[in-house]
Amino acid sequence: MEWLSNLAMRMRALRRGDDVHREIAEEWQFHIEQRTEENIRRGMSPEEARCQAVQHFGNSGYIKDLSWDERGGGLAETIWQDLRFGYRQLRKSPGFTCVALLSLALGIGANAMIFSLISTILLRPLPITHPERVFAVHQIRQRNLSAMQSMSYPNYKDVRDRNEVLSGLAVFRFAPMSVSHNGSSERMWGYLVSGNYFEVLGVEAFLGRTFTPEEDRGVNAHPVVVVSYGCWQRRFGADPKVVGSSILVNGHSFTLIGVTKPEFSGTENLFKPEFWVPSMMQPWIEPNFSGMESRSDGQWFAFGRLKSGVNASQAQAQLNGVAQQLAKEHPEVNEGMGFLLTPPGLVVPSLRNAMIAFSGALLLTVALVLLIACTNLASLLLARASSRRKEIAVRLAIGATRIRLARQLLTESVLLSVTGGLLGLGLGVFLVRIVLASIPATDVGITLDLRLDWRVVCFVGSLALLTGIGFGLIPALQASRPDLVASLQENAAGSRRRVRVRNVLVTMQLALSLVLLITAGLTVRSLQHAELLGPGFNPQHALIMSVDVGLQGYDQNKGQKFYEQLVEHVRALPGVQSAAWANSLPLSVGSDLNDVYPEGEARPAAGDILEAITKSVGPDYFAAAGTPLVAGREFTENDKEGGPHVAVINETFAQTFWPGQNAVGKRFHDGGETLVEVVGVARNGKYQSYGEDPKLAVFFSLAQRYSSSATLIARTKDNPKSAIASVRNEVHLLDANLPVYDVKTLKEHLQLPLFPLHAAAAAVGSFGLVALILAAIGIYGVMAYSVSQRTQEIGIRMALGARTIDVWGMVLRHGIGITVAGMVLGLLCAFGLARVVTNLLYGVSATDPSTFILISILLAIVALMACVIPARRATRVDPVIAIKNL
Amino acid sequence: MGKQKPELPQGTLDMLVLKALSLGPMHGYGVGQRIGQLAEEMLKVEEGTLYPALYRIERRGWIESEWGVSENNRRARYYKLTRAGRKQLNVEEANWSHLSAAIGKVLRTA
Repeated sequence: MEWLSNLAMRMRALRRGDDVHREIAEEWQFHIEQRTEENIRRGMSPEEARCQAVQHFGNSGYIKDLSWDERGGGLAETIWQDLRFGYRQLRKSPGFTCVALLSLALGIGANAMIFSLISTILLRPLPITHPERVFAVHQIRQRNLSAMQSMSYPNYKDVRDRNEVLSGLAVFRFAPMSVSHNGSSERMWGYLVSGNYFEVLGVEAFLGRTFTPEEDRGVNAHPVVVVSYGCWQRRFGADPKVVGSSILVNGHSFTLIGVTKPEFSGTENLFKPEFWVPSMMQPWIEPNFSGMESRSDGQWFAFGRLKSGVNASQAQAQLNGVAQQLAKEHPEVNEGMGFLLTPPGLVVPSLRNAMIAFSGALLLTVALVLLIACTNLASLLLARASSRRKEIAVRLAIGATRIRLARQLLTESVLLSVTGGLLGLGLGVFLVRIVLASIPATDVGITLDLRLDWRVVCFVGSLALLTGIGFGLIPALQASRPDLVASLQENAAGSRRRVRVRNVLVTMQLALSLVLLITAGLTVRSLQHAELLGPGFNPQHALIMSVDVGLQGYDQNKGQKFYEQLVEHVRALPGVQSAAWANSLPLSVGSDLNDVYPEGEARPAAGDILEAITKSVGPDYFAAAGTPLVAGREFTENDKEGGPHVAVINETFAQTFWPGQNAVGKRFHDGGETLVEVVGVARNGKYQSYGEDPKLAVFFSLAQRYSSSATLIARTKDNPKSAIASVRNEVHLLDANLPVYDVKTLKEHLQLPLFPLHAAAAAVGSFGLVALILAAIGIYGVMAYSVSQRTQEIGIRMALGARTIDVWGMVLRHGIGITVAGMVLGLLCAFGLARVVTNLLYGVSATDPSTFILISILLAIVALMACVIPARRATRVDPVIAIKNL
Repeated sequence: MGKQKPELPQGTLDMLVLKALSLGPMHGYGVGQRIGQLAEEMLKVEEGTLYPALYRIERRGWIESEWGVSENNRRARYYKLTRAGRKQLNVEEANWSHLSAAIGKVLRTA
């Protein structure tokens, strides 16, 4: 391999230059001595022999230079020279260097942060053996891809036993558990997993051991627990003796058999429960959930390891074959079923796709910001190169090749960009810390392991190099053009052309900044709108509080009584307008779904039947939540167990099944064959995420559909925070040992579902701001340069009688011209992009006029402010001095 | 006065060096001698320019070098062909014979 020996010799020349010189000298010494001896043999005298030998050797100075070059010294030496020269040049103009480094750091830092997000969520493999062979297996409905995408346990067993492409298939579920150790108990989230979970992942324990498949046989037969390293450190004080001891989970005694390695925390990127329990222990963990026998329910998430020699698409095809078998055997549940394989980490494909779209959009945004920064730099470098025209012309005149010169200029810009890249990396670290601090804390334990790993560093490194070469190339090539005669004179025509180029660059910058800022503005307005009007309930003046009476050991009777008593007491509190229970609030993590179809129709096939989001709520819920009812009534105390099944549906539900009619009084089938009567229709809202399509939702009466965990929502007259203490007190009075969790205002509850919007608004907003600053710097640069080029012209005009106002006008005309051009271009682009962006906004049109106008005015003001300083400088031109330089 | 010494184009010199070393490892002075022998004293290059050529060929990985002891017990740097060098020599020889055959044809018919 040619280049390898080439590289080796060059490196040696770089590091051991003296040795190389010495070797060459020694080698030639030998040669000359041999030749001398040969000459002596031919009969010359020793002095003559030596003289002739040296002469015959040739022009040693020239040959030595050639040799040094060929031994690899040439390139290394010149690169080192270029670096040192570049460094000195940069130090000589600190203003330029600072501005350039700032622009680069901002641009590259933003990219680093977004890329670290992408790296964490999409790129980083799990800390397991051969992670590229492990895939998440999603059970989907082929005709309704937005429907629930998880597996039931009986389906899992069949797929596990019948497939031929996976060496192992495991499932897991998230479940909250109440864990006690040494007297203190706490509600934590954990995994229920099949026995082969650790085996399929190929993960070993850090202390103790993990499950064996035998420990997942027999219901409730093996109460064992594996905890995560973090949990072991925090909850158990990193005490190695805790392995083998027993802890209480949901009141039952479990043995802690192992601790996982520090970097392992399951297969998911965003949600990391802290301990694992075999799935057969399910009745003790989730007593009210029939998760193992029912083929139609079950939110089990599956993943499998491919057999060797099988790739993902082959596996998916074969699994779909199994799906078809299962559909034939159990058509009422599995009809229309299919399987989808994706890399693990983001629970369901819809979340994964959303994350990909989100990160892609952010990456595009920061790429734009970097582009603006580079444009700035290109134009700054152009200006600098033109001010070094004479120096370059002299170099060319004494024999520098164009390549050599361009290489020197390029080295300077790469030096700049690499330094900027390092600063950007530091900025990226800082930004990552900020992001991590701003993720809202939730009961559910969503975590994001953002850090700058090697992937990010490589990305930043290549980005820095590319930008250096990118923005340095054109100025370098242009500046090194050997147009000697013209360069040595003052070349007005050339400088006019340069100003034109820079004008174009700045116009582009302004346009890009405008686009970014408008996007930011629209996103912020979207956020405002979503916060206030989106969810379908009124987040102001309300507090929430959750309890899990099932974990506390209450049976259904006790639980219902507790709910009734508590809500009565809370309603009686001064300052509380209304209060009600719900088994879960809209926009919480996780939701229940039921299949529904209207009375009088045949049950649709399993692949076509529609799902509705299901909630159980108590009387007065809609008043407490602030969700208006468009027809019918709320639940009352009479809607209890034993009475006719009733429900309140949302508008989408009503319009889907009974379009144009009054839905109150109609009936529908829910899940099994139960007929439920509609007693009210509620205003639509958001139930799973802000970005969802309209969904069917149905609210059942909590008295008829008991839930062992529920959230109390209380609407207050004033600040809800002040009522929190008294509500807690009421709970305490009823049961002093019942833990309450997720106590906050309803507005705070929305922080998590709003987080993506918040993050997007913050991101786009800050990038837009950065873009604005960069564009302002760009305009200032161009204006200052143009003024410096026109100094003579200004001097002459002033000498001929131009007033200060006239000079201002001259300069500002230029500035206004650029600004208007940039804004027009930007507005056109923004309109063009409107269609693309529409889907991402709530309640705000993508061409919202007030946003466009406000942002344009902002940009115009900033741009004009940037023109003021150069304009003032123009008026200070001393005509005498200016004319002297003619 | 005297014979014109034709300038050797760079590629030809490389080929001659490779050929010389194909006869066995040798130091720089010896390579010069061998080339001298091969071309029967007609192509007497300025001796020193051999060395940049040797270094260039070494950089391209066709020969490798190490220090050794000469026949008269002096320290000298020896060069020898690598496998890539041998391949390159065959390629160059083939090219050269094609080229000279073509030129010969033209010269005969003109």
